[in-house]
Amino acid sequence: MRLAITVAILSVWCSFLSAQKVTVSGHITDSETGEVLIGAHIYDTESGSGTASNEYGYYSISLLSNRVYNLGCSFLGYNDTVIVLSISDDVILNFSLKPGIEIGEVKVNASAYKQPEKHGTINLPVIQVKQLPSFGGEFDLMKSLQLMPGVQSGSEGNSGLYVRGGGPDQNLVLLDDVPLYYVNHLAGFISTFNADAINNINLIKGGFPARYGGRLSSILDIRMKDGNMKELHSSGSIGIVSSKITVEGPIKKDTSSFILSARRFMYDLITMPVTKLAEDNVIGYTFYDLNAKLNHKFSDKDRMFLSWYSGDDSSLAIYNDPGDDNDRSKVRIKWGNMVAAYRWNHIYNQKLFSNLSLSYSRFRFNTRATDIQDTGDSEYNYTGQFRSAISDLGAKIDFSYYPGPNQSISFGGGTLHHTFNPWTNSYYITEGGNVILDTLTGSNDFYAWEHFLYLDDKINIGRFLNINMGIRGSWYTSDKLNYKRFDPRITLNLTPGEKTQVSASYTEMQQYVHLLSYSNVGIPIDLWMPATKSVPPSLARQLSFGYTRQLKNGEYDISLEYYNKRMNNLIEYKPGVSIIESTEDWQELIEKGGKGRSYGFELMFRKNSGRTTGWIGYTWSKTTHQFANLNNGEPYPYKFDRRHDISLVFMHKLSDDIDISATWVYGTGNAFSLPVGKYNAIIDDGQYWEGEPERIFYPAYQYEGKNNYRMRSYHRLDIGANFRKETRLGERTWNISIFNLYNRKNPYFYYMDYNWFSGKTTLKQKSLFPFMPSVSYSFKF
Amino acid sequence: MNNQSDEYELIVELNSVSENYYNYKKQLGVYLNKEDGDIFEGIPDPVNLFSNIENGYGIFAGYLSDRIILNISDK
Repeated sequence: MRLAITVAILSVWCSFLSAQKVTVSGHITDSETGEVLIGAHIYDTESGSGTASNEYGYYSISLLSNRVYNLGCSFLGYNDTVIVLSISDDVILNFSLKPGIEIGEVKVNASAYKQPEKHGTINLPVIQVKQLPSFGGEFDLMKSLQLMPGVQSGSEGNSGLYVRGGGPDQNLVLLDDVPLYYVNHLAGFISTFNADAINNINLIKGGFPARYGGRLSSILDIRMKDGNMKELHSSGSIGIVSSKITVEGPIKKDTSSFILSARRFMYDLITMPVTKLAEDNVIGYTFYDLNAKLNHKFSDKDRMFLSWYSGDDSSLAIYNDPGDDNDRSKVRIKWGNMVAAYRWNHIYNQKLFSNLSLSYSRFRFNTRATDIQDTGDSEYNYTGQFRSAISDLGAKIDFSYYPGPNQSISFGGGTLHHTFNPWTNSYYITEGGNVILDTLTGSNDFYAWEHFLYLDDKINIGRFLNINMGIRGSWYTSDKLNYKRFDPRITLNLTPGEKTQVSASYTEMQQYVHLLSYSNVGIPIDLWMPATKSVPPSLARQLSFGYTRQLKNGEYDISLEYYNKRMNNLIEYKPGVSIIESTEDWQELIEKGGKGRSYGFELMFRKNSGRTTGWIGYTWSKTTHQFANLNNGEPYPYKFDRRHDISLVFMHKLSDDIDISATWVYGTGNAFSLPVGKYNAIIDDGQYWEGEPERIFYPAYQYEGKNNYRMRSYHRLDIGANFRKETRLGERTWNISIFNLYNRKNPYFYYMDYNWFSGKTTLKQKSLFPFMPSVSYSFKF
Repeated sequence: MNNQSDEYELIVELNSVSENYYNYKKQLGVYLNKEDGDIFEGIPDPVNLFSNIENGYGIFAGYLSDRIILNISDK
C-alpha cells in the first residue's frame, strides 16, 4: 500500500532566488515506536537521485530552491511516503514511516527510484530473522546471515560466520560502534545477539568503506534498538533453550527512552537440583545476556546514548567424594563479554553531522578449581586458576559531510588501547596452614595502541557513475614496535539503466590482533594475541565485481558477484602443540607468515515483496592456505573450503496471523586429513617386564597432504510456522519449528576407530543434531 | 624390587641414541598427545610420526644401553 501524503507547499515565495541550492535534512523514524530507520531512502521521485539515512537515522539532501519536488521516503517493510515541497530556504524535515504489515507488500512504481548501491553488502531486516525457522526456539541473527551467499557456516550448528574464505576471527563485529570479541553461547550453537533488542544488521563482505577497519574479511554492524519513544511496551518469550524479556519505553515522550533486554539459559534451573539429589554432586551450565540502553535528545541537534551489553557463559561442577565426607572440590569456568559505550550525536549545521563515541569492551575467560580436604589437624587446600583476557578502551569521532547534491564525505579518526592478558596459570596449595606451592606461569601482559584516521568520498559523476574513494591510515604501536599502513578503498558503481547496476571494488584491510582458538577441555577457549615483532599484522587485499538487476518493479532482484581475495601473515598452530601446557612462548608454538587465497562467485535471486518472499543463494568458491612448514610448503584446502554452497529460503504469509517458512541448505563436505596408511609404532613407556623394558605397539597413522579428503556433503531442511493472536492483553505468538526435517545424519567430524582385537581400522562419522522439533511462546503488550 | 625385605634394587639405564631415534621419540610425544576427536574440537590436525624409511614408513634407529643396578637398603 502506498501512502502518499501531500504536505502544504512551504514558502513558495521568494521565487527570484531560482538556481540557489537549499538543504533538507532530518531524521527518519518508525511512526509507532520512534526507533530510527537505518538505510531508509530519500529521493527525488522524478530523477531518482537521492540519499540514504545513516546509522542514526539522519539524512541530508540538497535541492534547488523554488522548484517543486516530489520527495519520496521508503524503507523495506514500511509504507512509502511522498511529500510535495518547494522551498527557498534550508528546512528540517523529519519523516516518520508507518510500518506495513506485509514486507513491502505492493510497491507501486511511483518513481524512477534508483536502487541504492549495494556492492558487497547484505542487509537483513530483523523482522525476517523472526520469520525463519528457529533452532531450539532461538531466532539467531548469525544463523540467518549464514543463509546469504558468500557467508558460510562452519561446523554443524555453529553460529560462526565464514565470510569469503575468512574465519570468524576475521569479522569485525560492532555492537553500537563497539567491537565485540566473542559472539557465542553454548559452545557456539547460539549467538550472543538477542534479536528482540536489535534494530538493524548490516554485513559488509567486500567494498569496505574507509570508516571500517581492523579485520580482514567482513564487517558486521549491529545496531541496538533505542527504546520506544511513544509508549511503554514489554515483550518476551519462553523457549526450549532460553527465555527472555524486553522492556522499553519513553522516559519523557519523544525526548528520551530506554530499553532493557535480558535472556537466560533455562536448563540448569532444572538440572542443578536434579543432579544434586541424584549424586550429591552438582553439574551445571548456564548463560545469560543483558542489553541496556538509554538515550536522550537534548535538542534537534544533540542526542546522547548510553549502552551496555554483558553476556557470560558459565559452568560449575561441585564434587563431594562419596568415600570421604571431608573432601570437597569445585570447578567454575566463566567466559564472556562486557561492553559499555557512550555516544553523542551532534548536528553542526544541516550539512555536517558528527558522532563521538567512547567505549570499553572486554572478553575474559576464567577457570578456578578448588579442592579442600579437611582432615582435622592438617587441612589441605588447593586452588588452581587459568585466566585469559583482552580489553579495549576506545575513543573515536565520525563526521558525515554533505557538501552538495552529488557528494557525501565521511571522515574521522580514533584510537583503541588494547590490553592483552594472553594467559596465566596459577597454583596455590596449603597444607595445615603452610604454603607448599605458590606459582604463577604464563604469558606476560601486553599493551598496544591502535590509532586510525580515514577519509571517504562518495561522489556522483554524471547520471550514471558513482565513485566511492577512501583511504584509511592505521598506526599500531607497542613497546619498541611500530606498524603503520594506508589501506586504499575504492568502489565504482555504474547505473546504465534505472534497474541495472554494475560495480567493482578494490580494498585492503589490516588486522592487528590474532586469534588462537584452543580447545580440548570441552569448552572453546579463545586466546586473542597481539601483533608482535615476529608475528606481524595480517593483511587482506580484495577485488570484487558485481552486477544487480531489478525485475518487475523491484519485486524481484538478481545479483551476481565475483571476488578474489589474498591474505598475508596468517597464523596456525604447529601440529600437535598445546599452548596452555607448554612453557614456551606462544610465538614459538605457531606457524607464521601464512598465505591465504580465496575466490568465488555468488549468485542470489531474491523475491522482496508479496505474500511469498525469500531467496535462492548459490556460492561457488575455493579457499586455500599455504605455510612454509605445513604440507611441505604446498597450498592446501582451508578446513571450511566449500566448492558449492546453496541456500533456499522460503517465507509465506497464509493470513495476517499465520506465516510459514522453510530453509534448505546444501554444502560441500568440510576438508579433513585422512591417513593413507597405518603401521605399528613402538612405545617404550618406562615399564619393565621381567627385567626387560616393556614394548607396546600402537597404531600410527601416516598422512599425506593436509585436508586431502572431504566429509560427505551437508544438507538439511528446516521448517517453521508462527501463529499470532491478539488477546486482551496484547499479542502472543506460538512458533513451532522443526530442525533437520528429514533427519539427515550430517557429519560433524570423522575419526579412526581401531579395534584392538581384530586389528581393523574403520573411518567413522559423528553427527550432532538429528530431527529436532522445538516450540516457543512469545508475547508483546 | 623386593617388597618382603627393606632392600630395593634400583636400575639406572642410560641410552645413547642415534639422532633418528631422538627425533622419533620427540615426535611420538606430540603424536600421542593428539587424542581422538571430541565433540568440541572435531578431528585433530594430523601429525606424522618421524620416518626415515624410503618408500615406506617407520624408523630405522639404534641405541646403546648402559645399565647400572644399585642395591639400596633402608638401613
